Amino acid sequence: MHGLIRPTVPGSAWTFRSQDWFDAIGPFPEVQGYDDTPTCHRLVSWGRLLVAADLAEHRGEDRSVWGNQSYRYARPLDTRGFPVTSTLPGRMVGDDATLSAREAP
Amino acid sequence: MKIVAGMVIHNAVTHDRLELAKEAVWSLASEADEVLVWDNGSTDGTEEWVASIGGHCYVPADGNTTGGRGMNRVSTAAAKRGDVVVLTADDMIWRPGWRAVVEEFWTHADPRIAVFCGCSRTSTRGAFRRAASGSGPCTA
Repeated sequence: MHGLIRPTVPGSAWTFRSQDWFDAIGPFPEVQGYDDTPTCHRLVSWGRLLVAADLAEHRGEDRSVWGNQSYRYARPLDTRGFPVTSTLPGRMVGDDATLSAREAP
Repeated sequence: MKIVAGMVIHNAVTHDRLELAKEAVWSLASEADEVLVWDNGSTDGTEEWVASIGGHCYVPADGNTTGGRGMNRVSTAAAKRGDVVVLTADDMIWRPGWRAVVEEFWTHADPRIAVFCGCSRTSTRGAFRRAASGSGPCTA
């Protein structure tokens, strides 16, 4: 199984060991819009790794009610240089990041 | 491996949009052992609907409706109930088969790995920009 090690991963789709919640991950800062990023930075500073793959579709990227504007400056992740494949069958509409290295031009 | 999912509804997309929330919850409930939901005050029947499908819905008692509060509440509850936690926002639709991948990953994962994220495309603030120099492949 392959994933992508990243300096931050979005808190909207995390999985983790339960024990790690108590030992390392929790609690998140209770500041709207700034909870996952500082937690990522803390974990990485402790030598922990953050891995991403494609298991879910983000429907709300540009429809935030509370005003998240990150979609305006974030660039799609170019995975063509990495051996990351779409983890589950089927591509997500409009999501070029799910292209595998084999499929990429 | 018991997998407990916690979903946070925090004024993102599905607050007071129950039909959207249903799709997101079902994508978890179809494969997780339990689903816990944090809802920060939707008035569209979200709490009642979650209860009707056997889930548990938490609501803020002190007016703190930040996403962080919801993430803390459901993560703590889920971590006490299961071996692995799926912490997700209300606008994530988990694709069929996600459970098998998560189980496989955590069964063999390097102990240094703290988080296995189910979405490589979604950005936290500036993540994609740093990804160009800070990311690398991982085999778990």
